[in-house]
Amino acid sequence: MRIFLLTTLILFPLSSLFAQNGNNYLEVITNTSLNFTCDAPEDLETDQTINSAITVRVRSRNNNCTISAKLSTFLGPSGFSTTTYPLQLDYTSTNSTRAYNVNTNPVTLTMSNQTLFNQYSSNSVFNYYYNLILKAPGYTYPLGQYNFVILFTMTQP
Amino acid sequence: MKYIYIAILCFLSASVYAQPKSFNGNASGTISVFSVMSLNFTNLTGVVSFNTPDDYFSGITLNNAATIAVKSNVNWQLSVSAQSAFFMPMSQGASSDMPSTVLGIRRNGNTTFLQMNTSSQTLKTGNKGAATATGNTFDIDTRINPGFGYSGGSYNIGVLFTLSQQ
Repeated sequence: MRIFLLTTLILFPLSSLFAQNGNNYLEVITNTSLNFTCDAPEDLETDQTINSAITVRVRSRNNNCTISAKLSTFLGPSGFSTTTYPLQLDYTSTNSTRAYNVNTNPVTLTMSNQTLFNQYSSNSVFNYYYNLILKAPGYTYPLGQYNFVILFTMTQP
Repeated sequence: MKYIYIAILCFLSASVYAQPKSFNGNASGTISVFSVMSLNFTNLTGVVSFNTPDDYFSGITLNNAATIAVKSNVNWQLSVSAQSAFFMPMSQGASSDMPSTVLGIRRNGNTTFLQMNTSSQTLKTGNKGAATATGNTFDIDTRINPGFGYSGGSYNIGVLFTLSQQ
């Protein structure tokens, strides 16, 4: 009996750790297809924006959290090679009353995590809205299709 | 034995607590880049007049008659051809047999004119890039040398510039 109680006491706190659950979660909603087309000079020379492209829904009940984003995948056609990427996340608004350190400037995505905002712990679910910007790629990108995946991460200390 | 069990549980618990907790979500999309080419002409010369005997003896050369700017995301080739084998007489009495070869075009800086005919001839090639890229903006010269074989009058001919991928 004692062992059972001890086991329960030890394991009980762990339940929150594995809680990609109702208390703590990150949800990424794409409000439209995130597809860009470049088939005219102006597409190559000027930025393209998909407005209200992404909604990030956050609930962080157990602790404060940091939300960051990076490119986990950016694959181009043969001949494509770069260390800089043409995609930006542009914060537009939130309904959060618990956000802080919100990066309101467009964030140029890289293969490394960059902080978008922090949020104090709260029982509520808050939405953060982002435009997705394709910076003018210019005339040097090889023809073809580029596939990208943006990975959002919510981290609690 | 039970103490070993508890110790293992504590160890596992501690090691897990040491890690920050993280939750992920992702969004994916595509960028499609198609072949894009653009050609822009400026400073085109309009009517060329033959007023003196020298104009007929030597022909008239117009250096820097036009500026051509190419934008392309593929390596490019610009070709030129006449739209008809003969100049079109535009006034009464003008000859109908003045050939397109009377008109020559060259890239400014070249010495040889391409005599126009209805077959495409390569005027210039270049690398992909904006109009500001080296070699993507250049001037052309024209030369018209009909000699004395054709009647006085007004003449017209169309010239077709074709930008294509190398």
